[in-house]
Amino acid sequence: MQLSLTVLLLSAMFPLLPCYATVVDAEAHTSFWLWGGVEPQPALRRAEHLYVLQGYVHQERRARGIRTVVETQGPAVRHMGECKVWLVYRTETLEWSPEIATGIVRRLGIWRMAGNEVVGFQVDHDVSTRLLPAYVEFLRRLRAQVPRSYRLSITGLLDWSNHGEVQALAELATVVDEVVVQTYQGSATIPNYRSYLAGLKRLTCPYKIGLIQHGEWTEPAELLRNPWFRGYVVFLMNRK
Amino acid sequence: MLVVIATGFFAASARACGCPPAYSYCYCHPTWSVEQHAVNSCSNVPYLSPYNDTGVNLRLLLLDEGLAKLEIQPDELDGWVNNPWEWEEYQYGQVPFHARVFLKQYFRSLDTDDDEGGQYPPSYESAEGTPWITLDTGQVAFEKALEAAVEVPVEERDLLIRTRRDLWQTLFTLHERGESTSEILDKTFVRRIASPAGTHFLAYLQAVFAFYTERYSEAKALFTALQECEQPWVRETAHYMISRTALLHAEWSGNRIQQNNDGSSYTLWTKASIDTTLLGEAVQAIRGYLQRYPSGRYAASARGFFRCCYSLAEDYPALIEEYRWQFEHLDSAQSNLTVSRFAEEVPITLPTHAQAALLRFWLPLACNDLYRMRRHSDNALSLNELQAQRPAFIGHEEVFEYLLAAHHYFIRRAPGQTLTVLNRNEQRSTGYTAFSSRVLRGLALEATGEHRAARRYWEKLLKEASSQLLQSETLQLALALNYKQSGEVGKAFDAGSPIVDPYLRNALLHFEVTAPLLRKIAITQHSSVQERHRAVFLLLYGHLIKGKYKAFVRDHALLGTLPAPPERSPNKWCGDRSPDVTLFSWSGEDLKDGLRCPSIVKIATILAADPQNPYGLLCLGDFVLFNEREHDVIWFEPWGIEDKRRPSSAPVPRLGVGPDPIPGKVFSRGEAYKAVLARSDAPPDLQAYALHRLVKCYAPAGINHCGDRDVPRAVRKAWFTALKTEHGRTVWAKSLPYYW
Repeated sequence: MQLSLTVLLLSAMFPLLPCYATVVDAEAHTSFWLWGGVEPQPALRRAEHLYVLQGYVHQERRARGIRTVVETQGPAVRHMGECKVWLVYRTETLEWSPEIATGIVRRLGIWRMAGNEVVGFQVDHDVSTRLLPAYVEFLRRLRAQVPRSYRLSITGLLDWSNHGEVQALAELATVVDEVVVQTYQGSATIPNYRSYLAGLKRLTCPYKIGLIQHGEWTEPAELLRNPWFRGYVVFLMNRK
Repeated sequence: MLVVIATGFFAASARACGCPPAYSYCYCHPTWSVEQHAVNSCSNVPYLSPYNDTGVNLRLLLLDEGLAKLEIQPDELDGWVNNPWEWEEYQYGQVPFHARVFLKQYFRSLDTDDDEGGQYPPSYESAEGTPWITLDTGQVAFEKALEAAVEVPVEERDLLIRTRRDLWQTLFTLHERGESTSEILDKTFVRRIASPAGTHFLAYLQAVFAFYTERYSEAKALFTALQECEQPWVRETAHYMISRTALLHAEWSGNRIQQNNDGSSYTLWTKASIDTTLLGEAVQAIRGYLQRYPSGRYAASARGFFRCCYSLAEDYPALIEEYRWQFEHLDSAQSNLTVSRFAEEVPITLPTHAQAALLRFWLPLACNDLYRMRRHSDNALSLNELQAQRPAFIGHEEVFEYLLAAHHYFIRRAPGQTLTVLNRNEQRSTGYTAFSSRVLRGLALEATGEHRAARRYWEKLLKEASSQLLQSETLQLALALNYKQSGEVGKAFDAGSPIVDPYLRNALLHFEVTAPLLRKIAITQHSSVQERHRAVFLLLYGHLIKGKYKAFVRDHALLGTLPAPPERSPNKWCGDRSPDVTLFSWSGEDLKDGLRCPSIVKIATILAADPQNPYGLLCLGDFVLFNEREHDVIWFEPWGIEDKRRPSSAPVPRLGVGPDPIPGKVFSRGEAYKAVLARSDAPPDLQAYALHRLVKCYAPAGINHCGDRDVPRAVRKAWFTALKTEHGRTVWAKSLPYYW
């Protein structure tokens, strides 16, 4: 992909970056996002948690009006070995019909039947800070539609922690089991991600940091002391 | 996700409204150029460009084939691509555009998409590789078939329907209990189904259970046993299911369980591991079904399986032929592609390296040729190779001639030759291929240095009414770049200027307009009210952050000349995104933990007299900090700053590169605080406040957010110590228990 080149260029371009900034090496991690079409790579051998894309929820215009649709995406169901599996649903809308949750529950069961240890599912939605309260409500309803035996993870945005409404963030912590905060956008690390990390202190639920393979990451010493920090998830990419 | 633009001022501000997902590769700024120079999902143009997303080029060609049209769709769907008022947030205009905006907001195929089913019709022909995607559709079909089969007694029918309906739950429950699923139907139901037709349906269900539990060999045998049975629905459906099972079986054979050294295992799926014998069986099974049921109820689906087989087998000539067949038979009962699905699928499966195969179908060939005209392509298209493709474009000569001209322009960098080729085939139509030729002609004129001629050319094209969407905006951008090239950006804002696209005018204001011109626009009656507000905002903002305090004070008076702003209409996600000049009416409202400050205009007056005045600098810092806290979304960062920092800055004309229209060093709080400390005549309480703020720049995680260069922890400690020892009695020392 263009990514590695981009990162090199970025590194060359931002001399202010501390010299200890490192390139994200998937081999040093054990949790990954796995999207469709990603070539097998050695890091997957030691995977402990896999977040597998399974669907994309969005709205479409149809002859009979607007409807929310679930487009099947990501790798086919198969036995993933001994790692724990999360199923990921990207969504552009919070207008979900109850059938969508039913479909997710079934899909979770299907992955179990394929011999996997299925931990739960993740909702990948980019919500603005202002809409966090509505999102929390959406998640609360969704949570109620899925058996408690499955955990609920969501992706989070870096700026929630800086600008997020404290109340909404606190409520979020009562609804979801974990937040994975993404430090990248598209295929590159957000250039000034470090300015945002301070705000992670405001998250009061287990959280992980989402990194992009070949992107940039420097671990702040404070992170390891944070009781809610649960490690990293690396978004796997193909190299061109 | 968020788009972040960092400057020294408002260092950590974010744009965070309804951002597109990571997967969409949105993290890029549009390159405000007609020519483009690099692949960037955000920067597509409505002509056939090597740097367009292949899906965009393909759709442009489909438009010319009369299979689709471009129209602005109402912004009634969730998601940023559907809502033009959000585009500005990402600094998009209309041209260039994001690939997804093009296909979701503008592109509309003229055939009708399937509207049935609550969920998106699963494309089980697209190698998704799991039986489960037909769990629901299969159930509906099974029930309908049973309802039509009057020869099956009602009790049997109900039992069969219920069993199929419970299929998932049954299998899941058995799995959770650790029980075998292979004989479930035998045990439970056989003795209750006695009618001949009912028996066939039961046998079919047994095969379906084997299918859904991935016992493919067994499923194949069970379906095969039914392909001659008397019940017509079961007979045909079982026959079709043989091919589907065979295909899944072949795909499944690509899984290999691998062992790690520590004894753990993992599964790897690769095309290379697929059992080719099984794949051959699948092709035979599909052919078998289609021969017997050429107009069968599953004919379209079965034919679709061929694409999957050929893709798995990497048989590209067959794959391309299949796409050609589908494209030429979109109305056929055997085609399972709509125009939209065709446009979605081809760019994903396009075998870019299989040039010989692509010669079989001009449409993907044209897309691939453009792809190979990109700068730094590792497989650049040679002129000889392109010329040899002429026979592949019979019937599509207009496209071929354009490709030739584009080759001269984009690969050989020979604008003269480009014009020669274009002159040979003047296009009169209003299609997108013809438009591509027109744009290329203008670009070639610019590249030969004929800027005057190019300007006349763009102006002439703009006067000709264009019926096609996005074409005018492209030409306006070309003309604006021509103005920029000759240092006459102001012409874009003259009365009667042909540059009317509001997005483009905003981009010009942000990227290119100098302070004198901003001032002129601010007082020009023919400018729109929004534009005048934006001009004043950018002017005052530029003065303030670039240290032009005298100019700020002088131009602050412009605020009084502005007409009332148009009513602000907060949208559902982002609030109002237009510039709000009331920022510059800041009265000096106290930060809860800051100094007592006068209004921003008084602060600027103090700094105009002494740019290093400690009180002035600290209050300007408070103004910045206050707005950082209060405006969680700071929309007004100057556009394109990140782009300017990138060395890849375009070797093509574009907006936002070149000298800063308002030059000067950007204010940073960190530097201001250090400047106060450096002044020995600064009053002690202000020195204490500067130290207090400097230490807090690193709160709470040791990360600096004051926009200046980071300092080591030892320096922060020294600041803290100085505050505590030299100014220990001040409120600023007492209120700060830590350093970071």
